[in-house]
Amino acid sequence: MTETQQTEQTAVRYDKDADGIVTLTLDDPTASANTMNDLYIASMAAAVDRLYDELAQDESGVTGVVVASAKKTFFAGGNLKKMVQATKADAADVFGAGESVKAALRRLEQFPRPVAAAINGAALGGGLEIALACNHRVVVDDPSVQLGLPEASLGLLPGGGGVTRVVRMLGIQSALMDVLLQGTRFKPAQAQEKGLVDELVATRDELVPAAKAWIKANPDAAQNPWDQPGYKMPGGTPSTPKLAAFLPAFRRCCASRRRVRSTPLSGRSSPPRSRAPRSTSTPPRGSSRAT
Amino acid sequence: MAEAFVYDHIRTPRGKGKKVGSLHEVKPVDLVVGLLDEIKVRNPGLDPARIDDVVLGVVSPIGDQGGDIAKTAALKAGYPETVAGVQLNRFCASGLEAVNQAASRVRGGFEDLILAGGVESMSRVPMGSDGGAWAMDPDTALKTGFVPQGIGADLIATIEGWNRDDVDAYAAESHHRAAKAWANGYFANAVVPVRDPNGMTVLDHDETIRPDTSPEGLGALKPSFADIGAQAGFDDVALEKYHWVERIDHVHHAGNSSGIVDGAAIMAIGSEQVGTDLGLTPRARILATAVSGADPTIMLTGPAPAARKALGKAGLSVEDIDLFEINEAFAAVAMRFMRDMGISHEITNVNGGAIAMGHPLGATGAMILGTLVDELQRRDQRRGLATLCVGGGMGIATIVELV
Repeated sequence: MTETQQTEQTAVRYDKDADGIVTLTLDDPTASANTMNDLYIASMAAAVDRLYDELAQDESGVTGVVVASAKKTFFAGGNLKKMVQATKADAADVFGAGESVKAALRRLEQFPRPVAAAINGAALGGGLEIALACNHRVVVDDPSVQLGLPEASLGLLPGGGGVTRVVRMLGIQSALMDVLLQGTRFKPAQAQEKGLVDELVATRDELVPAAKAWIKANPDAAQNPWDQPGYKMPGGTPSTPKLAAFLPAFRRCCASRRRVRSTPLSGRSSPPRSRAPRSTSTPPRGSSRAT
Repeated sequence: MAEAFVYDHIRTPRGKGKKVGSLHEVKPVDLVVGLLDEIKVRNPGLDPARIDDVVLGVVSPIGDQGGDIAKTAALKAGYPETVAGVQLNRFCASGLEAVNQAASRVRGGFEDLILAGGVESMSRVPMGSDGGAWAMDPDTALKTGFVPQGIGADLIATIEGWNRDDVDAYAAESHHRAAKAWANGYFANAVVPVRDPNGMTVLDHDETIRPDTSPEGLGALKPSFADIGAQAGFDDVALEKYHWVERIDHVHHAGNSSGIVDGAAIMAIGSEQVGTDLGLTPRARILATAVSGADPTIMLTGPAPAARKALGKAGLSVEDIDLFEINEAFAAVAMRFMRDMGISHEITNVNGGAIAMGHPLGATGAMILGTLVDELQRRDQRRGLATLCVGGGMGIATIVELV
């Protein structure tokens, strides 16, 4: 993709309102649904760069960020078509793409202003991973809207930050048993009960206003719990003896359910290698491969 | 008596021992498994069923590195069930201790082929995380005159009259030598890149070498042990014993001490017969091994007594040794060993050392012995001696002779 095309075409629109809140609208012009294709990867990276640039120029230039979608679903997730075509020879490219996805979301998560997701439709896989990189998630309370990380049911794992963030949010046991290993799909109310999302609104029109209202009410809520000093993983880490004794059991839970094959994308959920900004939250070892 | 031969030796590159280090993402068991795989590939005749044991040094054998990682790695690498595994700990000497124990067992005739080495992922299992009465129990520490190693290194420099410029010059030279050795491919035969499950390279070079290191640049770094020496009273503990020293000059810092890194190494140690059976060519013969000790408070002067003991056992004198490897735990440790033995820097650590490339605690001993064997061969020389200073005042040494 050339520079010119990037400026002409974007899958992440950037609009700032009078209060300094930037809305990043996921809207792939080349498809009916948003997926993690090359255009998304370049567009999200550029949008996050622009956020940081604006803030560097003027500290009060951006007061918060809303991530919304212009499609019927919030975001459809990984590009399955591309994934099934990948062979061993594509490992470096696929790995690089995964690292790029994670790097942009990590930078978004670390943006020093509150970031809220306004989820208007299905957020499965990559969609929920984008939302998890935000500080707050608002969802329309429509039972037809599904949220979850169903990767395991396809023999994949949520390698775009899903594993890393869900285990930190819920603890390893709950993350594995309730979300990751079964690829559980949640209705909005169930997702809220589980803690995956924070707020429900009755209609789609209320989403962005609710997200902006949260930002205005919580100007300092720019850090996710796992980035805050003193954070402890609920239920302990893999090196906590009580939990460690159970880890092999989690693996059996999954293996008995289905044989899961590993794909190039199943690589590492660890911090980006070299060029990309590093995640300070290192994923628990082994958990990402427990599938 | 049977002889013990080095048939092969390989190591991983050494990655920065921090979260930002390239090998932080690799579990220590997988660092070892990568080497167990590779040594079979390099030596098609090496029938794993003939391996009696895998002996690995690990200094912090807990968490990722706990639970007898040697047997665990042998199982994960798909070695036969009959291949045993044991983990040992002689602090910084562990990697060489593993080799020496393997050599002794082979030489004693009880066993034929042992893979010996060590592993330490210092980024994942930080130094000191295994606790221990010596450093952590005040009563024991007081009764044994414990002070942190860096204080001992500073005390050595103070006693020997080496100032900051002296130790920094030594450190810069370590980087220059390591950089040159890498540039000339001297480590190419020993270093096995670490790869991920997709076969992509995670790391293929030692990550902490800075070829442009200058004594002037190092001069800007803050001493590491001045505060703890003064505030925790460790200087006083040391000076109680070394009462003729006015005060400790704290000259060591991150730049002239061994680097904290992740890495692993293994050596194949076997009898003459097993080499004949499997068609393996011996690289070197292990002539003698020794452990000894010196004052535990200054702690780091054990290498010379260990080296002398090994030389005595081998019936050799210092002049019979062509090359020396002394682990660069701190600059003053290597400088003191050279002075104690009356040897020149020209034949010591000729390809740099742990100041440049790092000291993955449990693995280093096997790494430097491997470096020694390769360099003797490259120079067409005969005998070498590898040694390390060790916690508790111990020292360890191994003498090898090319076949």
